[in-house]
Amino acid sequence: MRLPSLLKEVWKNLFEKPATVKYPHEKLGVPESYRGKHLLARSRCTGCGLCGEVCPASAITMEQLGNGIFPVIDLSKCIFCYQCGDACPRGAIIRGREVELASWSKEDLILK
Amino acid sequence: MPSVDINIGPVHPALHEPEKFVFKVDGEVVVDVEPRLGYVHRGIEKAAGEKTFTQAVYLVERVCGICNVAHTLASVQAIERAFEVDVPARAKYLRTIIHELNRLHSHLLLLGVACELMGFDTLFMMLWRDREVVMDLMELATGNRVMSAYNVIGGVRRNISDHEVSTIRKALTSLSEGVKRYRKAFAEDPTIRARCVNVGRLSPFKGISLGAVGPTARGSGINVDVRVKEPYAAFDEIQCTPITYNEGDSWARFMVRIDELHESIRIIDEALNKMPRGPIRVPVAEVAPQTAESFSIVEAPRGELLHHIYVKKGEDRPLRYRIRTPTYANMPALCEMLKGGYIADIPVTLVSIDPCFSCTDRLTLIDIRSHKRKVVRLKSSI
Repeated sequence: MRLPSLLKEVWKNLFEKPATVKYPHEKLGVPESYRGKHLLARSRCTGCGLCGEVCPASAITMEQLGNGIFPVIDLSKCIFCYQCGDACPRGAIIRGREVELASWSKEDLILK
Repeated sequence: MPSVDINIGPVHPALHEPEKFVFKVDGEVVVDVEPRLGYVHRGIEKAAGEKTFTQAVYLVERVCGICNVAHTLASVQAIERAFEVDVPARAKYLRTIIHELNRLHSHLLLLGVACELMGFDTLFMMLWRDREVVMDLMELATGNRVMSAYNVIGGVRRNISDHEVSTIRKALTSLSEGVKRYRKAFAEDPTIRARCVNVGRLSPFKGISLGAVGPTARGSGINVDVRVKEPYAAFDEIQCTPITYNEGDSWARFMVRIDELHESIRIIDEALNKMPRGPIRVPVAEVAPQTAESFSIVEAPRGELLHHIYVKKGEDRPLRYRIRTPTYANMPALCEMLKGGYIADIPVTLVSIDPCFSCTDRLTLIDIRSHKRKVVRLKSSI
C-alpha cells in the first residue's frame, strides 16, 4: 500500500511552531491599511453632516457638542466601511487601527 | 415498496445554514428530493431600492460574506453601465486582483469544509491554515479580512503600493507550493477518492438542461466561465483558461476548484505585472443621469452572478434591484445529483456545489388560503 502523500507534512507539523497564536496574550496586529475605530478630528469639522447622510448603516448622528455641531458615531451600528471618511470634504474622519472594541455597555461604543 | 420521507434541516449539523430538504428514501437510496428554500430571506432586493446607490453597494456586499467582492463588483458594474461611466484602467486591474483573491479564499474555505464533512480533519486544518495567508493579503490590500468594501462606483477604494505588490507575490508563491501538495492529496488520497469518486453524478446533458453554473457545471465538462465568455473588469486583457473535468462527480467538482486556485494565482500574478499606473477612481454623479436598465454578470466563486438594475433619471436610488445568485441556479442540478445516491453521500454531494443559502433565498408569494405559490416577474413588481 502507498503511503498518503500528506503524511510527511503531518509528521513535520509535530516539530513546527503552531500556526495559531494565543490571542489575548500574544497579538498579530493589523496592517497599516486596516479600517478600525475612527479618529475624529473635531478641529477640521465644519458640521456639514455629509458623513451622516452617506452612512449606509445610519450610525452617524449630528449633535450639539460644546460650541458646534459634530458627528457622533455609534460603533455598535457601524459597519466600518469608511464611506463617511470618503465623503468628508475636510478629512475630519481619520482611519484608526484599533480593533478591540468589545465593551460591557453600549454607551461606551458611542464615539464623540 | 413505498418510500419514506426524511426531513433534514432547517437546523442540522451537516448544513451550515438553515435550509430544509425532504428526502424520499427507499432503503438507503434517495429516490427524490424536495428542497425548501426561504429560511434566511432578508429582503435585500427591496432594501436596496430604498438606499442611495452608494449605500446599496454596501448592502449587496452583505448578500454573501464569502463572495462579497463578486457582489460589489457586479453591483458597481451594473450601476456604472446605467450611468455610462468609464472606469480607469488601473482600477479594473485592482478589481480583478481583489476578485481573484476572494475566489482563492472562497475555494480554500469550501475545500476545507468538504474535507471536514468527509471526516478528513487533517487536510481541513491544513487548507484553512493556508487560507489565512489569503485573508492576510485581503486585509493588507483592502483594509478588512472579510468585508472588503473595496469596489466603489467609479473605481476602487485603495491603491496597492509597490511594497504591497511584492508582499502579495511572495505570499502567493508559497501558497502555490501548498496548493500543489493539496492537489496531489485530492487526486490520489484513497480516503478522498472513496468518498467522492462516482458520488453525486451530473451528466453534461442534465447540467445544461438544468442550468448549472460555475464549478458545478465545469465539473461535468460544460465549458462555461463568465471570465472567458463575457470578459469584465480586466479579463479582456488577461488570459484566463476555463478548467473543466469530464467526470461529473463530486470529485471532479473539487478538482475544478483546486485547479482554479492555481489559475487564480496565475491571474493575480499576470494582473500585477500588467497593471498600468494612473488614477484609481473617477467622480460619479449621485443621481442617475438617464432612465436606464442595465445588468452585469460576473463569475463569483460559486458560478455566474447577475445583478440587474433599473434606474430613473434624477433619482438617487435604484428603482428596482434584482440579484440572481449561483447557488439558486444550481439547486435543480443539486436535486438531480442527490437522486439515486446513498443517504451517507448526501453531505458530500451537497457541499460539492458549494452551497450558499443565505444568497439563495428569493421572492415567492404564497397564498395562505389556497397554498398556491406564485413567482413574481421583475417587470410586474416595479
